[in-house]
Amino acid sequence: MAGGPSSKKSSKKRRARRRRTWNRNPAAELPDDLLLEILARVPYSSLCRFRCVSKRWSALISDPKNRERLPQTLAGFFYRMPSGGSTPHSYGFLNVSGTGAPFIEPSFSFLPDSEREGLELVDCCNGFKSVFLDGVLYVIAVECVIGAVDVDGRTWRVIKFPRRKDFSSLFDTAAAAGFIDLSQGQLHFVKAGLAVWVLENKDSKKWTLKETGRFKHLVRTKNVVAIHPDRNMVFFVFGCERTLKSYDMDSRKECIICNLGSWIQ
Amino acid sequence: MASAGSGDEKAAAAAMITLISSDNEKFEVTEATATLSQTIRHMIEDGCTDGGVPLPNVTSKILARVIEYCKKHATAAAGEEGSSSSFSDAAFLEVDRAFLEELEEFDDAFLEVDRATLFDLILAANYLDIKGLLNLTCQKVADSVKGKTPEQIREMYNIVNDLTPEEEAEIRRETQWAFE
Repeated sequence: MAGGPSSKKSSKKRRARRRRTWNRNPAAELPDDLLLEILARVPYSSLCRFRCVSKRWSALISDPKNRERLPQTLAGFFYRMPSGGSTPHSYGFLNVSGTGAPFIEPSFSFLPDSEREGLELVDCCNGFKSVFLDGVLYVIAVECVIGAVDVDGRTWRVIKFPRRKDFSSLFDTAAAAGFIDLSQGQLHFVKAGLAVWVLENKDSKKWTLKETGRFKHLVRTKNVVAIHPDRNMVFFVFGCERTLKSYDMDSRKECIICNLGSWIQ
Repeated sequence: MASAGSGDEKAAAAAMITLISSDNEKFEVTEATATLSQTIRHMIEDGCTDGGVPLPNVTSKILARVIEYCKKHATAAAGEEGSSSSFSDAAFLEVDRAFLEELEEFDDAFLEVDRATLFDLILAANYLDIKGLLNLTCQKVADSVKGKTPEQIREMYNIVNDLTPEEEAEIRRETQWAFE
């Protein structure tokens, strides 16, 4: 074997080498493909920050072509279009952040035809029952607890639903009264229309109350349907026109996205 | 540098491949070691390794490190195959675990290099198509940058910020949560 590991080399030699390579720009020498290999291995929050590094990094991270390789979140809603006559119902997808064509192709053309017929989306709107985060699967179980299991199936934990004394009675009701979802890299628990908690440390079982009641007046139907994957924002459906609205928990501003109408599910 | 291949007497019976670095240094390695590289594996399959494999993109310094990695991991792969037939044997599992731990320690020590060497290793792993090494080195860089701010990244890698203040402000507005 020629040459020993560099750790055995004298520090003097190392310093000399470091000086020599000081002016090199190793990251710039990497082709896009290899920079992507690295970026594909950082958490999503870091990836968002790194868009500010330079034009090249920003373009690479934002390029739709690279979405498949990089960690990403999808912000939008599936909706179901009514079926007409013999044609089965179809699905559409509505982006909530950004503009342009839907990020994903809502006709599910990747599924074989036989699978597509009778397709029912199981995890849209009020259906958030399980979340995968940092190698741990969180599942809403009966009796108002969330089960957490790591990918190896070695560690099981039970996390109780967050509670507040003043509406504890509400939390004794069925688990369906709330849902869990991922936002900004943290597990959130949303109690329909009333409050949002965040599990700040994945090793703890402690929930931190993030938002409560302030948007209660906006939500007569108490129908919070989702939480934005990247922002402090919740979405709810409102009124007889079934208006899809967003509520920004930082600025406390609400915003109308569209009228879903009674025909979209 | 010592003459290459001097420690390979044990594997003398195995077919040897000569790798030639960009600075014309020759390294003799076993086929098992060399075929961790898909690029070289294909060359061997095509029968075009007689007279040595020139690697014009890899310096002797980096090639020596890459070979060090491949030797260790080729041994690991051979060990796995050898023990898989008797995987129910608890003693074998114990040996396996010890070996995997040793391999992990080797990888950790292997990555103790300066930044320029690490990037050269990434380039070499990509060129030679060694998946394990590419994964290992890219993960190391990813781990070292993930907690950093854009400013720290630019400083670490001498990157010039060519975004206009308006562009940067717009991106920061869109991704504000990631900075908190």
